[in-house]
Amino acid sequence: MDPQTMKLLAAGLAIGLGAIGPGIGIGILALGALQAIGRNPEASGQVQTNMFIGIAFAEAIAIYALVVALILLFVVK
Amino acid sequence: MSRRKKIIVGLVVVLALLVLGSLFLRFQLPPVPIAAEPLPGLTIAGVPITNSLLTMLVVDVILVVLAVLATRRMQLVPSGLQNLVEWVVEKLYGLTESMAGKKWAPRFFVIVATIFFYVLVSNWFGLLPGLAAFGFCEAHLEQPHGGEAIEGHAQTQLVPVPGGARLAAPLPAAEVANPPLGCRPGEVLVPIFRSPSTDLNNNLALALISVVMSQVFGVMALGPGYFGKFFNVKGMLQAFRPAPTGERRGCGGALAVFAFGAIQFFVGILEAISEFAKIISFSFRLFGNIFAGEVMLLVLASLVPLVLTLPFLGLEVFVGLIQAFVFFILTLAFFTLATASHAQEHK
Repeated sequence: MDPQTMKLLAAGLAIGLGAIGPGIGIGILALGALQAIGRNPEASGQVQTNMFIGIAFAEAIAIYALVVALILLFVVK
Repeated sequence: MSRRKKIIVGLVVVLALLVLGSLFLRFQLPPVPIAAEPLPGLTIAGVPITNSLLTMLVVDVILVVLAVLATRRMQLVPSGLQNLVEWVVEKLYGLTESMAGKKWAPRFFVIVATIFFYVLVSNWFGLLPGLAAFGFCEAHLEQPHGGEAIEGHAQTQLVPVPGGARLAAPLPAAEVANPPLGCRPGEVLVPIFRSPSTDLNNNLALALISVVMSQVFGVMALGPGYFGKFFNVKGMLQAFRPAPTGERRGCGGALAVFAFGAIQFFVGILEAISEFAKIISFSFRLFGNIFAGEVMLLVLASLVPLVLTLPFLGLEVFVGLIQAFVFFILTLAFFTLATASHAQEHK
């Protein structure tokens, strides 16, 4: 395989595999938050805020994968 | 009209749009430059003005005009624009106060609310339909402008420098041969406006403001002792002092306390590293979401014109709002964490 193909493949794999974990994590987070809201609807504001913070932390992992993919695509020659 | 008829009419309209779009509105995917393009012939003191920088100024003007319009004729019972802006600001302030408390809320609010409104307007500005059609024609270069020198620059530096390379993905020759409207073959359109959120430099600046200000607020709240969070030697020193009960520790006891202190020290180092990780995750989160959204709209429009783009445009409006809110709430959370005293937690 020539280097260009490998580069594209590596970038695709980097973001594709890197998004699996955060995807599962965000799913679990939303599950927990929705259950909490369902049991205690008055606390929904507080729960939502904390959910967004948690989602942002989980999403950060996917962003590292995105950074790696972008570096592979545009910086590595 | 019955429900059934409505569905049929809707389907016919969608099909007609599909046929019309694929017959007359087909276009080939333009190159997607990841760094903002410098506008030709515009430099200030040797620094080229990029299209995202220009758009940032436009966004600033929009915000100022909005603020002036909303507060021009202030009424006790607000209506219209004043009502809307007051509602948004009140909600944001309520959230700030519930997270940061009465003492710090006014100081945090000026920064986090400014970030919210700026990010919101710049996210939505990039979604205005037709805006990307205005631009200059420029010869398409697969290689960056300056040749080898700039290429080396781009390799060593992660952040694309303004005026540096236009790092366009290599294109097959057929796509370059089909120029955008009004351009000669082999040329591409450099748009005048580009959402500031799709330029990494802008997001890096916002992230730096957020992280640096959280250190400043931490020092304001806790004094120089704030940095003890990162270089935590207190636990290790504890081993050389007598136990709180007054009796001297044995050799094993002192070692155990020292080992626990060493763990705390390494946790402190990790905390310091996570401060830097925040800069990266802040800037790339906004960049990734907004840039990927705009590229997705382009790809969808080139695949199925008209029909598929509209629902996703609505999705992107929502994503823009959510990202502005996430930037707001995370900055607020980090400010609150920085000002919270560590000693109070253990009491």
